[in-house]
Amino acid sequence: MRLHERVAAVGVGYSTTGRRTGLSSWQLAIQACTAAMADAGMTPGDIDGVALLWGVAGPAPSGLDVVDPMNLGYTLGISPLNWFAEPSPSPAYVGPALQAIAAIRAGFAHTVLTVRIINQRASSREVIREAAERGPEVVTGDRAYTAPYGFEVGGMIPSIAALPARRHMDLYGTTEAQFGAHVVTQRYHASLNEDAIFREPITVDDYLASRYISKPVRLLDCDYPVDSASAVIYTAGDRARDWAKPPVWVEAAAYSSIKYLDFNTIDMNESSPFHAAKELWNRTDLRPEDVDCAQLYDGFTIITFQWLEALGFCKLGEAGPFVEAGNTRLGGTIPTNTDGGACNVGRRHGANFCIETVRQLRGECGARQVPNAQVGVWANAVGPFSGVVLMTAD
Amino acid sequence: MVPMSDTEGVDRVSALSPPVPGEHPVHQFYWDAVREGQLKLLRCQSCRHFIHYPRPICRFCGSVDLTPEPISGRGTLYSYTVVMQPGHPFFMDKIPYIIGVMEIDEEPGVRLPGGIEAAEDELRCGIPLEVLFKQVTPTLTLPFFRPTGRQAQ
Ligand SMILES: [Zn+2]
Repeated sequence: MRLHERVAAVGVGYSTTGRRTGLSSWQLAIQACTAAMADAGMTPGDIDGVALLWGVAGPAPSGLDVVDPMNLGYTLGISPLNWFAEPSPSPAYVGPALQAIAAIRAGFAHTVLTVRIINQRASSREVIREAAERGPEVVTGDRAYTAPYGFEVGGMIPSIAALPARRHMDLYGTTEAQFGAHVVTQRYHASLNEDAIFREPITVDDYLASRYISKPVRLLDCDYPVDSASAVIYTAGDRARDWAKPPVWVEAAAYSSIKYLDFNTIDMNESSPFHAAKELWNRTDLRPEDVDCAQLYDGFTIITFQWLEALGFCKLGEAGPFVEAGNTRLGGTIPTNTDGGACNVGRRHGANFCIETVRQLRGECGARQVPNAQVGVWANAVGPFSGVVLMTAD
Repeated sequence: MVPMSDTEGVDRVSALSPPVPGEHPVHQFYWDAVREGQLKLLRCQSCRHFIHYPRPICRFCGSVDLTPEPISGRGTLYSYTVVMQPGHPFFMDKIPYIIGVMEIDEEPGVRLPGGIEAAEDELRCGIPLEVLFKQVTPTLTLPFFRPTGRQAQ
């Protein structure tokens, strides 16, 4: 089998994004895929693999139509497929991305379409009503140690972020205003992004006035659930310059699983981002100081803090003052979440971080462009499982 | 991720029970012990590490000779949170409630999630905790943790 040493991202695209779009998962997926193919100047015949992750975060409303990679390939006119995958459980979008990159490097495919599709889950009102109608719920295995206490029930997961956030505060003196500084910075970046959903600048006081969901996690620490699909096309190095836009190269990547799938009891500083980051830096000659922009998962604020520390942009425990001093703001030492993050562009479950990295390294970001960005890193998920990718401009 | 609306105005729903632990061959001993007012964790009889959550093999030495052993029920608070928005009908009238994680005195790194019986201002990561058994519903008793040296409420 022919190995491909280098892999590049050559096309990116989004579907319509928003709440209650009325669009099915299939419609969202097709929109994102056709947008990515148009971005690359590709036709389905140029693609020979599909990797995707479909789903809802939280309990699925009934009637959602499952999108699987075989069916999506066939529907788009990519048939036969040389390779297909739907990693599950997966640390969100980085799962299909890393499987696609690995499959190309291994020679199973030369060009893989990766997709993350999310239909927003039911509202908390609906979830609670449905749970009441279902009656008593029996939980077994590991979840029996948490669900009876009200950990992560009904898709209410902010407690998984509140635990490390609280520990970060108690161990390192991190303040709520420092969490707020991150939220304010991201919103500033979103104000420069025409595609962001939330663009109105806010202040730390606005942040401190927003309600708690699971203390110390506030509403504004949580990413914003939407209907969306996102697609990125990766291709082998020898084809990378055949398309409409300059390639963005995968310099190094790492995938990590630590302990088991429990976000509650894992060690904050021995979690998968720290393992993945260490492996990432082992796989490249580039160093943290070479990175021009970072796109770090912000499902909750503390997750971005953990990635800043794990990747070595600041020291362990110092993300709070680091962010508060403006280092992650455009113009700072490591502009972070330059599209505004999932809190402001909507939860694309990590795919936006890849797409923003590609766009920054192509120099397409207009008012929010990091000048002469040559190296970008993006990271997805946290705690027991995650992945991280380092990319370079052509 | 947070659901799209808060729960104000949600119809009063009746839920008499939170999710309840079901039967499971590997985990049964834990819940049987809890019913008797005891905390037991699976312990490797070869290298003496606790294996929690329970698994059929010791990841430290590979032994499959694992036996439930009582623990003191004392430990330290690893972290905690005050939940302000419920996600399940049982907790609608329970908010705000405190959940957290206790690291057991017997072995660093072995952590038990649970409910915390305390006022928020009594808590700080690292303080000593002890177990108490709390009847949550007429048919469900669960181990909770509280700061040591306090009387039962
Ligand atoms: Zn052992």
